[in-house]
Amino acid sequence: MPKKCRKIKKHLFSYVEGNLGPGRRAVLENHFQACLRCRTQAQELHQLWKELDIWEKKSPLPGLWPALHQRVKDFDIKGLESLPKSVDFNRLLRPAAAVLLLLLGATFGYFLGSYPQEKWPAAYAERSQAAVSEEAYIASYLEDFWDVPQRSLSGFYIISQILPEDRMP
Amino acid sequence: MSKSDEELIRRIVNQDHSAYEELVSRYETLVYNTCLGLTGDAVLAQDAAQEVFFQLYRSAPSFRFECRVPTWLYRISVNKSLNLLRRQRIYRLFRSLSAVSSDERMDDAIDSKIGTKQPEEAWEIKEKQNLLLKAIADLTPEQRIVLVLHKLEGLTSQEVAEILDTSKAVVEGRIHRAKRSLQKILLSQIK
Ligand SMILES: [Zn+2]
Repeated sequence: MPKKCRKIKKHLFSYVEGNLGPGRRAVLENHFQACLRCRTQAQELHQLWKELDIWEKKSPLPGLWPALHQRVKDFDIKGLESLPKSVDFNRLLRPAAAVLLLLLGATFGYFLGSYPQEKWPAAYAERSQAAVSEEAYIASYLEDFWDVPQRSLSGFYIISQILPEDRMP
Repeated sequence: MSKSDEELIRRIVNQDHSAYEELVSRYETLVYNTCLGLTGDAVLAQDAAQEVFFQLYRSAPSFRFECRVPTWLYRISVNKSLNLLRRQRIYRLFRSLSAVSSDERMDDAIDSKIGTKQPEEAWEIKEKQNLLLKAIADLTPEQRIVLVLHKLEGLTSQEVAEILDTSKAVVEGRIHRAKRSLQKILLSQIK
């Protein structure tokens, strides 16, 4: 884009909104006489901006009231039914499950950490002895490591399939 | 004679569904269009509008009449639209979007309004409105809210300030920045 057009573009908005002084306005209009590209841009922007000012309100899609009415009727009934219940079990269940998982993880980690070396699976012991260079040693462990993200991903996938739609975040 | 908003709210508290229906039909256009501007998607806007009116029904008993009913509805509309949009974005990370693209949905919403115009003129308006809604959807939530309320809903900056519980000066600053950003987005689209 020519340098002149870039300068014009900077003032295009003020021009469209009618906020330019007469001098600058004349400069822009002179340029529009010579430059079709800038003229077209100004026209299109002006039309769009005008559309925003005379924005036509749209009607909601059909079916808003029937759906709402049904929901409200259900709510009236449920509201009465749930009056004596004072504890929301769902709210308690989630933190409890989280704490339980955390405890399980910690126990498992502790067990793994204190597992005696002589009882390690033979394959691991062999590999650590047989690894000649450090690179080969790391590479052999990476093989196992790469498997983990894939398993976690399939876990996410399974969870996303099990959770009902309205429970999805 | 039509009943006042306040009277309708009092009747809604007593589970009067006809009063509720009257209030919904009085404000469905306001709520739907606010949600449409904020979400940029006809179906999401419809869902958000339903959430807004359901919230109104549930919260009617605690409404203190400290602000006007439309102000209250605008506030709920902003909250529900942004919530839905946030959830939708996270949801899309898990699943690909349903078969109907938001373009088609937008067309549905706009078609319902301009069906009476000449085909060519109608098509032009539709194109322009599509372009504008898409550009608005690219604004930051903060800018989008003030622009929709001020430009599309035609509220004064004072009214917008009341809805957002902030000062008029803050709103005016945001409107200015929103207009600048919108114009930049539009210019990049009409190259
Ligand atoms: Zn030029």
